[in-house]
Amino acid sequence: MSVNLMFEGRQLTVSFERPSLLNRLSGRAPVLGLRAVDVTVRTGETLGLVGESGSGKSTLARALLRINRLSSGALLFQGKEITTLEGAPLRALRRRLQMIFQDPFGALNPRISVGRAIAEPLVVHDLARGREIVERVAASLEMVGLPARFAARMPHEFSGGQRQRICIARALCCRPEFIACDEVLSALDISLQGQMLELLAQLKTQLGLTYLFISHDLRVVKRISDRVAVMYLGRIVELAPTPELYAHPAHPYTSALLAAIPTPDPVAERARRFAALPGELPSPAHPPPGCAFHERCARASARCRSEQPPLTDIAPGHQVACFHPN
Amino acid sequence: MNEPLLSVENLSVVFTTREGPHTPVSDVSFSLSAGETLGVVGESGSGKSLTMLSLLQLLPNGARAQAARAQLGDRDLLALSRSDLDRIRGREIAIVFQDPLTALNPVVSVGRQITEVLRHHFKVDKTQARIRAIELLSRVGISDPVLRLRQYPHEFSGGMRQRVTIAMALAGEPRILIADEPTTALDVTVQAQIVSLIADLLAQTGMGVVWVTHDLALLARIADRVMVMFAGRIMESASCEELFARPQHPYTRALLANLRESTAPPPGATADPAPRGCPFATRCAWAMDICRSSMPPPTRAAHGGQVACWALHP
Repeated sequence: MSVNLMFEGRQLTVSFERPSLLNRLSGRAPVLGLRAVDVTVRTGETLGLVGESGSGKSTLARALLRINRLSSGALLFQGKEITTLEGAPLRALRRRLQMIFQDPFGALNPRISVGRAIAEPLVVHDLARGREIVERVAASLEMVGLPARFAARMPHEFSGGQRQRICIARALCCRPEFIACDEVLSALDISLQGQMLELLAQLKTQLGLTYLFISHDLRVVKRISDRVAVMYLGRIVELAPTPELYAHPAHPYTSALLAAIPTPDPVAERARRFAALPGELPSPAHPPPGCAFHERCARASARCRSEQPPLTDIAPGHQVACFHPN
Repeated sequence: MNEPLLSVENLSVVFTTREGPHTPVSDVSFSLSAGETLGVVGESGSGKSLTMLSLLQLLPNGARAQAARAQLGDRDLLALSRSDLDRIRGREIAIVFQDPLTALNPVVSVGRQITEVLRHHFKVDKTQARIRAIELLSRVGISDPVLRLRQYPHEFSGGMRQRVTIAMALAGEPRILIADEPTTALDVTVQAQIVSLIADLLAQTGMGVVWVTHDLALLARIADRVMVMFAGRIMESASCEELFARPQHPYTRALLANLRESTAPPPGATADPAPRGCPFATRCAWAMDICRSSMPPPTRAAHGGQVACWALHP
């Protein structure tokens, strides 16, 4: 039996340059945001996606939502191929797939009321008219813990946390099955993050949602995700159930990320003589040959410098792309 | 205990607005000794950055700082003349900001930006300044400093840019370094590099450091003492070990519970605080009538530090 899959991506590749004649003649390679990523999102799960900025987290989310054009690879949604879907069927699909962004200030038009912002997807998809729109906007606001009367107000009247709730209400309004949450907590204060995580978890159970939860903060991802994928320079380098990943990281990059999280314990922190991971994420325009991580890796061998390790199973549900895993 | 480098008593920052005065920082007192790292933690809007900016008279227009005492050695920081300020900014107290891209001038080479600081503060010629700039860049871990001097900020990655602003801060050989969220815009592995770098520089120079952050966990590694701010006031301060081991104030407890992923309900949004009461009262599980009507004074706490809470008041 197979797990019920919401998304199945095979060899997903996103290139940020069109192969123009000039680029082809000059031999300039396209910049790849996503490099042949195999990924599945199971129905009803929260898949966490971590990695440093530039690692391709948002690009992967946008590829699943068919926002970024796939240069190659195949993408299946609930078993049906959607790689090249266009026009009305694509619009119909998009109603079921929503995304929430990091910056709740940039995501709301300052000149239209909260109610109109939330109603917009209903109008675009022609899901409701007249009285029903008002009712559904009110219902969405209440779902995220805001009073329905807020619909008449303008975005500037709200704090960052409230705006993020409004963005969630807008995403929920057309009753999606899947929501990609792209750094939705990063702009919020720590004391608000806990509340927002609780709200997201509660909405998921209540509405049977599936989440892709992107964050650079491994502490947050741990609290909400069922499985976690670690990305590095456009590839998934490790994927495992959350407890397994945090207890037994196999990829040296995952270990380094986990070691870099400060813990709220001065005694342990000072006793720990940890070596900061040297260097930074290489430029996606000039990826190193072989394993993209080898320049920063203490375990790198000659093979790592010439050959890209494939994502392979090392334990049930635990995959890693490394020739020398822990 | 040696003489503090910096001592501040009852510092407030007041904005004059059409709706009347607004006080984002009230009655903040602290001191800093040489070689000591003071961690200041708070959320956005807690007044932690404004407190530090006010000490260098860097407040935005319409804001004014007042204090019973704000001394750097024997000088009053809030009563300095323009020319005295010039000698103190960068030379005695330097700041590293959160966003290195806006802290650097995009159209001036990195070398020029560093030598500018050197030539402003010291009697050095161009060649000497250049040699010193090369030393500074290698000291903050930038490889190939001779080439890097000629480059512009856009040619550096985020982490490298932050190293440049640190080199600029060190150029004046300050006695006090104010690090205002210097790692917040950086990735976690680069954050760890910058934290180690500043810790090493500290050990070498004996500077006093004020590290402002919203991430309490980060302070566990670097701070000697921690000051917790909320809505412009100090809620609690103590030695780092004690604060993490025995947090007293309900706000500190909530922050730590959130970090330790316990199920304790995290506090809510910064609501409009009662005008006279404790600003945390609207979110506090222990709030009593008195909390809504008057601000608790700081008192000595069980961990040897100070706490401002009526529920813990002797």
